[in-house]
Amino acid sequence: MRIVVPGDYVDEGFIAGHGTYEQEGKIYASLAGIVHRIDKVICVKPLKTSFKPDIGDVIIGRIVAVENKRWTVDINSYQHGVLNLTNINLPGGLQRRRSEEDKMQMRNYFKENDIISGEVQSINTHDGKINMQTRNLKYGKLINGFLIKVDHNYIRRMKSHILEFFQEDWQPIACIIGTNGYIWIYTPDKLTQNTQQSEVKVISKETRVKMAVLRNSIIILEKVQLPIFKDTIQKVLDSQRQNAIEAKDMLKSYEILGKEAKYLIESEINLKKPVNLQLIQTDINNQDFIMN
Amino acid sequence: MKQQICENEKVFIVDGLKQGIRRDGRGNLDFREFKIELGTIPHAFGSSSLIFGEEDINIICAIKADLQKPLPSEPNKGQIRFHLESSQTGSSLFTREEQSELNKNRLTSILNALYGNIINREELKVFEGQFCWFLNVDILVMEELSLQQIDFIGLAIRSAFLDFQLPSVNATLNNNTGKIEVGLVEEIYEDQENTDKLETLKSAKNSPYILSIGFIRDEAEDVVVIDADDQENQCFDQLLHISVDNNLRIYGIEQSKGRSLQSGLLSSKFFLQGNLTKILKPKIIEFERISQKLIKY
Repeated sequence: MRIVVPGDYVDEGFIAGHGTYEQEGKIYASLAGIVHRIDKVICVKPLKTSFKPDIGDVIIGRIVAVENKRWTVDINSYQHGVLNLTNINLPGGLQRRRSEEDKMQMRNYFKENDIISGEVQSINTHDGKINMQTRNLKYGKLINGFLIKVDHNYIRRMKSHILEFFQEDWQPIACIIGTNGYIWIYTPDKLTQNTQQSEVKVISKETRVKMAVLRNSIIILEKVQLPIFKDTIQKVLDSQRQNAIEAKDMLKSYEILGKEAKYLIESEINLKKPVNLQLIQTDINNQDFIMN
Repeated sequence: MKQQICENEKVFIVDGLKQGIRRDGRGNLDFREFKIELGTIPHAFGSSSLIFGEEDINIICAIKADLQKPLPSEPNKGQIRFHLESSQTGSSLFTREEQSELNKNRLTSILNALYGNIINREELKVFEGQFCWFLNVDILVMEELSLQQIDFIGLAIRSAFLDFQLPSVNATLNNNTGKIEVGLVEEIYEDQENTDKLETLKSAKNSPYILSIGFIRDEAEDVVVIDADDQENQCFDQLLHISVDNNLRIYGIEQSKGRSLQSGLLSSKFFLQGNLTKILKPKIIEFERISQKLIKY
C-alpha cells in the first residue's frame, strides 16, 4: 500500500487512470489516497470521498426546496437528490394519479427542512442526477426523534437499515441508519412495522436517556473509527451497561467503551485471513506422533 | 446559523429541555467537555488553544502587542481589538461565505461589547497621552462560525490573557530632541545573556467569563439552558450572553434572540429571586478551578 498526496510522482510507463495526471510522460497523483494498479491502468483511490449513492440505498435527507412537482433533498452527496411527486406515498395509502390539486398542496406532504427517509430509485448515467422514492410504508416523513451525522464511510450496506435496541423493555429505541451518514434515532411503535408516525408522542425521561445512550454509542464508534452496524452498536451498549457509565459521561471514556467492539472487528478480520497451512500440518504430525 | 431544523425536531428538543435532558444525555446546566493549553504560540505575547465538544472543535487565540499613541478621549488607557477568523472566512473555496461573514461580524460585536474591558485598560498605559500598548487579539476557529462557540471563544481569550506577558518599558524624556523615548528594561543575569523583563497583568486574574443562557418560556417555570448547541439555539425564546467575573460582577449583557430585555426577562422569576447567582456560581467556580490549574502549569 502506498499513500500519495497531490503532486506526488506515482509511476511511469502506465496508463493514467482516476486521480492521476500525466506530465512529460510521468504520472503524478491529483488526489490524496492509495495507489491502485489494475493491469496497465494506474489510479489513486481517495481516502475521503463524498457519498456516492447506489440504486436501492436507504438514505435520510432533509428537504431543501419545494419545486414544481418535486422536492430537492439534501442527502450529503455530490448533489441534491430529487424526489418526484409521483414517487411518494399519499397519506392513507391511496393509489391514484397525482392531480393538479396534489401539486398545489405539496407542502402538506413535505415542507422545507423536514427530514425524510427514502430509497435511491435511479441514478442518471448522463448527469448523475439522483432520483429518490418513498413508495413504501417504511419510508416517509420522520418525527419523534433526532438526527445525527456521521462519516458515511463507516456505514456498511446491510439487509435492514432499521435497527432496534433495548428490545427487552416495553419501549424499544430504534435507529434508521442512512447509507449517506445521516442517522435518525426515534421511538418506534411496537405494534406496527411502519416507521412512519403521524402523531407527536410524549416521550418520557427514561426513554430519552436511552436515546442519548444510543446516540453516544454511535458517536463513540465513529470516534474509534469502527464500522457502524448492529453488532458493534450492541457491543458498545453492553459495555456501557457493564461499566455503568452515565449517558453524559460516555464520550469521556470512549476508549473503554469502544474496546469490545474493536475486538469484534479484529476477530472478523482475522477470520477472513487465509489459514496458515503450515500450522495445520504440524498439528497433524503431532497427532501421528501421539498415535504411534 | 448552521442548518435550520424542522418543526418536529424543535418539539422534540423543547420537550427534552423541559424534562431536563438533552439529546447527548447532558442536563440543562451541564457544560460540554473542553481542554485548554497555554502558550501554544511562542512568538505571541500570550496564547492559548482550546478544544471542545465531541467534534473536537479547535480554537486558537493569540495576543500581540504594539506601542501606539492612545486615543485623545482616553489618554491613559490602552486599546484592545478582537480579530475573529475561521477557515471559512479565510478562503473563497468554502460555501456559504456570506453567511459566515455575517456570523463573524455578529460574534466580533458580541466580543467587543462583553470583552471590551476584559482587563483594566489603564495597565496598558506607558506614558499618558503619548504611548500605550495596543493589543491585537487574534482568534482562529477551525470550524464554521456559529453562536454556540461564543462561550469557548471567551474562555480561550481569557486563558490567553492569563498567559499574557508584556515587556516592561521605561519612558524617558530626551533632553536634546524634547521627545519621549521608550526603552526596554533588561533583566540582568550573571551567567546568562540578558533578556527583556516581562510582566504579567494584575487584572487578568479577575477578568470575566462569557456565559450564554437560553430561555424557553413556560407557564409553570421558565426553562434555563447553558451551553447550547446550534440546534438548541434555534429553539430558544430568548438567548443572552453575559460576561461575569469570579465575584459575580456583571460586565455586560448582550442579547441574540427574542424580545427586548425589559419586557421579557427582567420581570421574570429568573432575575428577581437571585436565581442567576444560583446557576452561574457553580459554573464560575468550576472555571476558576480550571484556570488556577493552568497558571500553576
